[in-house]
Amino acid sequence: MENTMKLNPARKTKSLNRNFLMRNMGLIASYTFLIVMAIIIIYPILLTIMSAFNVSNTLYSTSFFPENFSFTENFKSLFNDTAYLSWYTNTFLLSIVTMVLSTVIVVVSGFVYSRYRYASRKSALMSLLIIQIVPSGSGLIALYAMASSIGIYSSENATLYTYIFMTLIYTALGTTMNTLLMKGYYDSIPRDLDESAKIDGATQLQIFTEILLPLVKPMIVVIAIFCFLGPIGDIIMPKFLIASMSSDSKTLAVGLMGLINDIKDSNYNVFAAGAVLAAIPPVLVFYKFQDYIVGGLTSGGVKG
Amino acid sequence: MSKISLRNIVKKYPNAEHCSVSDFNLDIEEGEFIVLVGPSGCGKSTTLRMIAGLEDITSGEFILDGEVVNNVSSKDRDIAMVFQSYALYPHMSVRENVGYGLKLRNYPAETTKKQVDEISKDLFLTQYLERKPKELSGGQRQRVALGRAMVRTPKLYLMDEPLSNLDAKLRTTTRSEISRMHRAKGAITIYVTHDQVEAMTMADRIVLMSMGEVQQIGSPKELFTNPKNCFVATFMGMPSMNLIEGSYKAGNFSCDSFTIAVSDTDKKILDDAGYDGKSLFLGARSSAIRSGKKYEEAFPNSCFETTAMNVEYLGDSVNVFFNAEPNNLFVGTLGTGEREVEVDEKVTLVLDNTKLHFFDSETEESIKYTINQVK
Repeated sequence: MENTMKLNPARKTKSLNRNFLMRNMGLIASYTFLIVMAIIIIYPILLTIMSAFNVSNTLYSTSFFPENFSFTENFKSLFNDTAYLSWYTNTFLLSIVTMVLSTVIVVVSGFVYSRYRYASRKSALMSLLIIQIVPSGSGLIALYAMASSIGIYSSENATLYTYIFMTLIYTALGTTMNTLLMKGYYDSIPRDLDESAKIDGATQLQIFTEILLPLVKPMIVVIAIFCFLGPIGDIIMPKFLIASMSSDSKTLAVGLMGLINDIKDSNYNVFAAGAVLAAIPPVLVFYKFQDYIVGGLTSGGVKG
Repeated sequence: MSKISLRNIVKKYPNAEHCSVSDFNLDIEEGEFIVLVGPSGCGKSTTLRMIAGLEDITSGEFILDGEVVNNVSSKDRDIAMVFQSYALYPHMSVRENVGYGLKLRNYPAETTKKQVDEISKDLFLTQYLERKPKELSGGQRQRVALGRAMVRTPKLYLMDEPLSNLDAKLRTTTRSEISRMHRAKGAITIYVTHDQVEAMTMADRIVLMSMGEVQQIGSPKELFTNPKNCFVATFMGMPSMNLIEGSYKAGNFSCDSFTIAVSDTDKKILDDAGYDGKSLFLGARSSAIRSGKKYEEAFPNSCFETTAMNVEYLGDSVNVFFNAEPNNLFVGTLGTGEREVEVDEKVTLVLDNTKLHFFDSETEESIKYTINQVK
């Protein structure tokens, strides 16, 4: 027995090696997949960042590493030649107001859907689901007609009213799906907690604010971020609603789009610079709240 | 006047065919420890939740201190409750959990702190006061839940199966903890459990429920020695009471497996009640089944021979299972000093006929119940 083992050391090692490969096949496959995915995601981001520091005219001549490197050139022209700052403030004001409004509505309506039983509850929940079926783009013309018919465009403060109008629409868009998410999260908190607080002497309002709100905080953060990001990324609706307005009143997406819309007069590097700046707030938000986001989306709630 | 009265309490959920609780009546005196016990789905938790104000009372009256409080909200009923799941607030420390009820009732911070400290000392929680519930073990969480109820002095403590998530050893210690707290506080406690051992050991009075109806109310001893019907008889006691159907004639009870003579007292009762020549259920606790010469001489007319089908060794006693036709498995508990029985061994067993119960074969009501009650 010992002899046979000594006779074929090489063979034995080889088979061991093969076993090693075989055993870690799954791990190797998943790492390969993850690396490929990471490259697909990171490469365009890096390309954008790099071209933001490259002074040149076209995207096609841009190499990955800047040829005419300049820290500030593109950003200077962004602030001097376009209304970038006012796009920026427009967009983030719109986002923040939308975020606050939808989050407040979602937090309260999720609570009501989860904790109260009333006649129209089922049909209301059903309609929330049904609304999801209609693509939001299909209502654009109707929205424009609505805005026009209530006299937004003919008023003196057309820009302000348009933005208020958009805020309301984004708020409504932000509440449907998120209400269902929020309700699900409330549902995962055992009702025993409510009842226990009730017996401890808490009013309905105290149960809501002192017991449930702290427990749904991860979901509130997630939903607030969703609502915050919605208006920043959207281009179709603002383009529709503010098409006829002055450059000052555009949103980031629409304004930046304008930079690369015209084949003859596009400036891809300035566009890239604008995109990089626009990405900073969302990135910071994600970075700050990453624990909540992962926790809020994955955990099934809090079991005492 | 009793402290608490429940009058004709009925609970019927909308769309439900049957009542979850029907016609529940109970008067509770100051300082009593009441245990609601029954198999799952018997309506005991629903009753407790109605008392707590967490469920509406469909009809009937719940009277607390002479006032009907059916429509008073739970927070104004002055009660404390321990939940099966403990229901600790996960985002609060143990101290905040225990003190929350006091805080809501606007106790000054100092008093709250003092009372929380006192109760946690009592429950050995002092070193965990700053921890969150998820950092505690099951037994510790249980004690926090208990502390949260005990920190106040309400009119009424309610406990909904507080021990069912604990292991057997912890259950025994916490059981005596609860009894001790009850004696110290002296307030009425209503305790729900499905475990008849908990009911027997803790209760001043037991309310045994089944299918939403009260089967019997009485002290543990009453329920054990004088069960009102077959359900009570088989529910209380471990192992549960043996029941067998047979016929009674002229002082003898006979079934397919054996014929025994009933005691003179029982003979008189059965003859007076007109059961001569009729069929009835015989109930015998496993402790009434014995073996050995001493018993054979004492009860010469109630011996029978059978084959042991299974034997369970319990340390100081042995459970012997044997088949009693038509379809019952009988169990007898033989104590120390009695003969040792092997599986498949033929053995002569004796029924101690002074400890027998008889039930009507149709109504399943105990024939001796009213007579024993008068005694």
